[in-house]
Amino acid sequence: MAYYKKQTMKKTKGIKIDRLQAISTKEGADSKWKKIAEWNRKHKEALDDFAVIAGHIRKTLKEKEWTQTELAEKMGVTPQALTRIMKGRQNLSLQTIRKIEQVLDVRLITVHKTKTVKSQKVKMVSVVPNYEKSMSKKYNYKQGVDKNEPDMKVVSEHIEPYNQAS
Amino acid sequence: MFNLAFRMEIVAIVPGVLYAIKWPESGNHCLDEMAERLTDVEYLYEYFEKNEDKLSFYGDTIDNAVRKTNAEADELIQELFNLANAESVSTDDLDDIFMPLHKEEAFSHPRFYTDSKAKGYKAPWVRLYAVKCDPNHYVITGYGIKLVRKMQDDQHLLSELKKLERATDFLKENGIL
Repeated sequence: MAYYKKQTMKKTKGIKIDRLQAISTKEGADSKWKKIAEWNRKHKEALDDFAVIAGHIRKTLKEKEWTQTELAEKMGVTPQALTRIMKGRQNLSLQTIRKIEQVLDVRLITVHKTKTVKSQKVKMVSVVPNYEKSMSKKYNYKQGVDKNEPDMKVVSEHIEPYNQAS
Repeated sequence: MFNLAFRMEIVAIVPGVLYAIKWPESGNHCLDEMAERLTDVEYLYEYFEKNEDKLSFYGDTIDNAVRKTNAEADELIQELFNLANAESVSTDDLDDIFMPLHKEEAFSHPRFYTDSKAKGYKAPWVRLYAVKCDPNHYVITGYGIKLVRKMQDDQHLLSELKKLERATDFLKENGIL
């Protein structure tokens, strides 16, 4: 008896889910959430930076009492293009960032550049895996320099959001 | 009397498993709307500027709140995106994502569910709300940023609670619940 009751309940459940399926419409190809998910996935590493930059622009516009339309005009871009930036949905090129900085007279990101310098007892910074090891071997073999005291500082360059750099 | 529920639509997000409601008063279904708004930096700034007083409890700045919400919403969308693209959905995938609403908020309504607070965040506040039809079968009714203790303490969240009730009525009328 219990078996039949269980089977009937299972059947009823199935019918209810079928009804849900029957009254639902299929999601179209224009599914917005999937497009956003794909875009975010593609730009995962920079999403937070886009948000930080948009926040800085917003703050600067308020300080200067400028509208977004004014900024778009001064930058020579369409209002739609600027809206994408303000929403954090534009893959910003360094050139675009520099253009915004120029027009707003602010610094949004800083690029740190370290020149190659000759010096004594400069600790080596490794930017390539095993670079330090291979360089040490090279020095030991060809010049006989102490592997703990290489005489070159590695050139490094990195970009970070303005607020983190300051 | 004109019944608003008549024009309510249910959209299959993961057919046979996950659905979302398109409310008559909205142009998009609620998952589209959630993804569009809660990952829109401009919208989030406007939202937190209006609700700055509610942020004081968390000790967060508006800038941080925007970044946090953006990241939390993305995590949730990615989780559902993976589910939608999976070759097969296991029987407890959605039951892992959704958890019952607190009794205080849902008046002990057993079918009101919310996403299980995004993992990896100290005090996650992005929410998806759904009606559970059966194990592993959910209908998303809305979303919100929960900065208050109870849904009743926020006007938007209170309207989400009402949506849960409207959706339940609609599903009952159609013999699904």
